[in-house]
Amino acid sequence: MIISQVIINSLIAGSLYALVGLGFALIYNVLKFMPFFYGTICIWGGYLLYFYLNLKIPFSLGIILAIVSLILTNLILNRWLLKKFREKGASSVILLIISLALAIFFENLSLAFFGPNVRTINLPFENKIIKWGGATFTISQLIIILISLPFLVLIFYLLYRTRSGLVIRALASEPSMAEFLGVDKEKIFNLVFISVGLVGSIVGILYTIEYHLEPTIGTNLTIKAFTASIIGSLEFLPGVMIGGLFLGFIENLVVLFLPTAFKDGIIFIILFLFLLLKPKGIFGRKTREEISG
Amino acid sequence: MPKNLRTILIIIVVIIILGGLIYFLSSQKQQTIQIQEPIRIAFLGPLSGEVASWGQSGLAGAKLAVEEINYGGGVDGRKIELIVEDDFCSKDGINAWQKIVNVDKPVAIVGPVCSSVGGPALPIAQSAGIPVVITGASAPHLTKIGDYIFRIYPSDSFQGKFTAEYVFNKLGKRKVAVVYVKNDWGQGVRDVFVARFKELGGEIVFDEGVTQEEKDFRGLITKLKISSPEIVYLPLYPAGAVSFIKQLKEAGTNITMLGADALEAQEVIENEIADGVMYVVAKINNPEEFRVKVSSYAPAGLEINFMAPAYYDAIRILAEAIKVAGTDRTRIKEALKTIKYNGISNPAIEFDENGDIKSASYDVKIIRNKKVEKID
Repeated sequence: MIISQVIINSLIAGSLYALVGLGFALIYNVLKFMPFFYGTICIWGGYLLYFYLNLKIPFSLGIILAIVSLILTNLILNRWLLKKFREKGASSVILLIISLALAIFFENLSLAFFGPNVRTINLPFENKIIKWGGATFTISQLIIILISLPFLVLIFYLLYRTRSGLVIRALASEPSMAEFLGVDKEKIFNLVFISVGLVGSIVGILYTIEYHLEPTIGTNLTIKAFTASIIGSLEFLPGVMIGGLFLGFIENLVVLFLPTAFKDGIIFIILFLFLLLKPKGIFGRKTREEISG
Repeated sequence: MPKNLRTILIIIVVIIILGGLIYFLSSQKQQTIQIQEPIRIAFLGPLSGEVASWGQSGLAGAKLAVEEINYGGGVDGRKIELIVEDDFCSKDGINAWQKIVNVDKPVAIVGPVCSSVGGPALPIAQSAGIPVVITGASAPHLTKIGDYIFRIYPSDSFQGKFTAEYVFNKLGKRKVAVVYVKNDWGQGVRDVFVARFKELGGEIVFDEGVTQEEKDFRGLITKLKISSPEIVYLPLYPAGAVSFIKQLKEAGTNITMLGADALEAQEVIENEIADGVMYVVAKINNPEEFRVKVSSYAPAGLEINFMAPAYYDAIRILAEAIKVAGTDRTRIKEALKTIKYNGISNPAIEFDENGDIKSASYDVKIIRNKKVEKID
């Protein structure tokens, strides 16, 4: 009975971590810098939904508008800001600083527009409680699992079974070779930002439905994304997804045996151990240089 | 050459005399300015963050008090000037306190609302010898930091004790689960509650602290349900409480929930999820006509809560003390020790040897349809 409840709880948290970790790792792999603003951008998906719903727009249309607006935000961010820095040949340290600055910027933007208070959105349906197999959960929690897990499979399919996916992966692993073979780098960057915008808006909306909106929660989400990526393997996207789910399970198992206040501490110990002992994550493979050297 | 030297000498002498004259006159002027210089009192409270509504209400109350005092001619002919800083109700607010104490050097301070900032910040004011009247921070140990610290809000040692007795005697519950925020305030209330409840013969079946930022309580709730309590006592801050209440209800239970005074915040009351939740809050009078007066100093749409009368009274009491003692901080402190004041929040404000208010009583309230009803 407890086990089924723990599995459900872990899946709710873990599938969100897997998604946000996926977007995080995708940017890292293709653009080669740590996008520490990503969690905060995701939360903007929730804020945009909140904004549209307050304009008395129907729920389904509000969701579509929120997704589209967040994709556009990501695209604008790439084309009008990050591209400028790439053209100037900014180093990864500069991009890291920009990424932190963007995190602070988007957090303060939500503070300025929506205030410091907790915001919640009302669901258009009655959030019934379901008891099944000894576990208790709500319809909205079921929706989170039913949307995010297939969505993960879909992204996986796009990356590994389509031509665009192949090009993205090529650019991620061998950038100079891919360019030499005629890959339009900027076009792929735009494609990546459209994808992470889509993933981010889904995360933001699901997170808002499950918890609530507050300007500072984005940072927390970024930390989760980072941890999931390190545990899985920053350079192997399916590994990141499994890392996210793993993180969800670890969190809920830790809470089962230890006081809740220890949760984040344990997560950081695990992150620390991975960085120390297995910095390439569970699924990390050694690169050619490391094997020959 | 000597002729030139003489003119230069004369010019120097004239400059010295003129300079001296100007200095003398201007220093005279400065002295007259100094007499009219306002008495600076600092406001510290949360103006942003999860409990911004407390600080905003409090600031409106403080402004009303200052306005009334200044309109009536000030204190001994000197006006009161309010210096305002946001302390976020978290340990991040320590910078604001340091700035106030070291840069602004006010005559006295009103605030803080939260013990989480009071714990690290009050020693700064104490060591600088600036009298503080605490408006909301209720962790028992705060007034013991030093003799410059006074508090017009009842200490948690009263609250925890009252709540334990209420749950045991009035509600007749014997098995309690406690979920508290791990900071000066939460820990303080929880410790007194648990000790008193056990003393009465009750059983604490579940007892766990969470961080102030925690949002995911599902694992905790899974454990809590197994311990099958009759009631959950939750000394949590608003944002955490909203998440906890939501997730506990979603877990399919209908255990009675009893919160602490922190739940008296718009963020909780106006959230439909909090329907049916009870909480214990210190009896701070907040009469209708006072709220109307205060609301003209508050941002539109703000529900005036119990922090308005608290800050109002804090400013008024300091003005009384300054009237007796002047602006010497040590003498203000001595005057506060013996003051008797008929306030809005409490008709008989007097401080005990720790600087705590002598009389405290509590209300039990319930949230129904986004409104608060008093039940005990």
